[in-house]
Amino acid sequence: MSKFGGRTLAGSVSFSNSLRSLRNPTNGFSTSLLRMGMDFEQQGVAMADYMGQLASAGLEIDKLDPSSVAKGMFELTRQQKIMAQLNGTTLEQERQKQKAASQNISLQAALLKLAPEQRLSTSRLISSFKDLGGPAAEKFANELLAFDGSVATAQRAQFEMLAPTLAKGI
Amino acid sequence: MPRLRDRTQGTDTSRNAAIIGGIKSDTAGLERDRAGIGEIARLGLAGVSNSIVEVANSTLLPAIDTFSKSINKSLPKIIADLDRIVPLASVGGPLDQAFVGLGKLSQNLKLSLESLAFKAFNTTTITAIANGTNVLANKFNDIVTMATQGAAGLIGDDKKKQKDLFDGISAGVYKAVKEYFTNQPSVDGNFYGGAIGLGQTSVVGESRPGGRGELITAGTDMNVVNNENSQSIVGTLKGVADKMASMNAEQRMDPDAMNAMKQLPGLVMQLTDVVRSTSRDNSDALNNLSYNI
Repeated sequence: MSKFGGRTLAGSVSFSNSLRSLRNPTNGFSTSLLRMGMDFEQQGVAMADYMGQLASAGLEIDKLDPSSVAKGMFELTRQQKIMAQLNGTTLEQERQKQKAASQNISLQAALLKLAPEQRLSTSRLISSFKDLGGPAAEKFANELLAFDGSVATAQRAQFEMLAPTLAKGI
Repeated sequence: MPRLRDRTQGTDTSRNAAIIGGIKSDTAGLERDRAGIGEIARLGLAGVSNSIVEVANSTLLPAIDTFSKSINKSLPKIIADLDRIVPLASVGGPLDQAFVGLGKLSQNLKLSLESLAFKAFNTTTITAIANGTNVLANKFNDIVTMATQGAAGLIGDDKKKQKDLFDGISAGVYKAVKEYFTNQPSVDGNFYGGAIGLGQTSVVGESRPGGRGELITAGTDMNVVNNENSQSIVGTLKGVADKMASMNAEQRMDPDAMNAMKQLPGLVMQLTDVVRSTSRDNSDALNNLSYNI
């Protein structure tokens, strides 16, 4: 909440607008999240968390359309739900992974070259590669993103040799 | 097939599943990866240790996991499930609809109760308590001032000044108590279980105020304990004020009367604490109520 001034009047208004948009019955986001096992209280917490991540990515929360924030939060949660089911974890554990990724300096350095809007989804994607191929896959993805594949590091060569299918897919 | 390196993923996280799905769809390739990584990792068992063996060691388990999920088509199954669940606004079985309906009902109930409580505690009760305690506080300030003057010898043995002093104190306290705490301010006649407020007596085991025939139970009903506390404190305050009003100046010098007066600041502090805890307990009770329904 502190990242977008959520405890100030203006920040609270932005937060409540986005939450209201999430609960708008016409888009069905909130109901769908409920069906995914996330109750209303958890939805509020996740929304605050998501808005904090957007702020960290460099976006001005006050200027964002609440409906796009709601849609983004829903999509991100859906992806986390997919990964939770795929990894045999919980939604909360996947959210914690996302938080941990925000503290990964290599990843954050690589993400800085992207537009703010792209950083969050790309960060989520790169974290998923760790589940697919371990830390080496995550590092490979980081390097790929940071240098557009133009820098051939020893680690990159090793990973491409060991796991060509994974490397090709990334 | 979208990939990270092609930057086909944009702002939409929904593309992420497609990228991962693309990787997982190549089951034969992942099987080859797994076998190759296993071969290198096996070198570690023979005592070989170098950077590529280390990478193989850290990659083997995820590679085995990824292959097993690929061959079992785990990801398509999960996505198919979610696609079935998520746009369920108009479909879904009766149980599913009931689950969502209950969730919404619970949330709406919680919001309604919180709104009601907010309105309730925004009305005359809080104002009365605040005003009452302010007046009392002012009177205590006067007491301190006058007592200080008395200690400085300004009152001394002057009976008239003593009388004026205690008349003033008792009149002020009595006025404050009578004016602000005896009108039994009620927050909302429609509140669940009937009106609540300082003047209400609520006893565990008795019928709930409001005449609906429900029994008050400890721990679940709002304000029960705290109303009793506040009722008791207000009663004591009134008793002290009444006692002082009924006494003449000499009697007021009686140690019992002085002791009674000493209780006043403590009682007001207790009352303030009760009001604070009542507000907190109400919030807890509302939450418990909404969870239990």
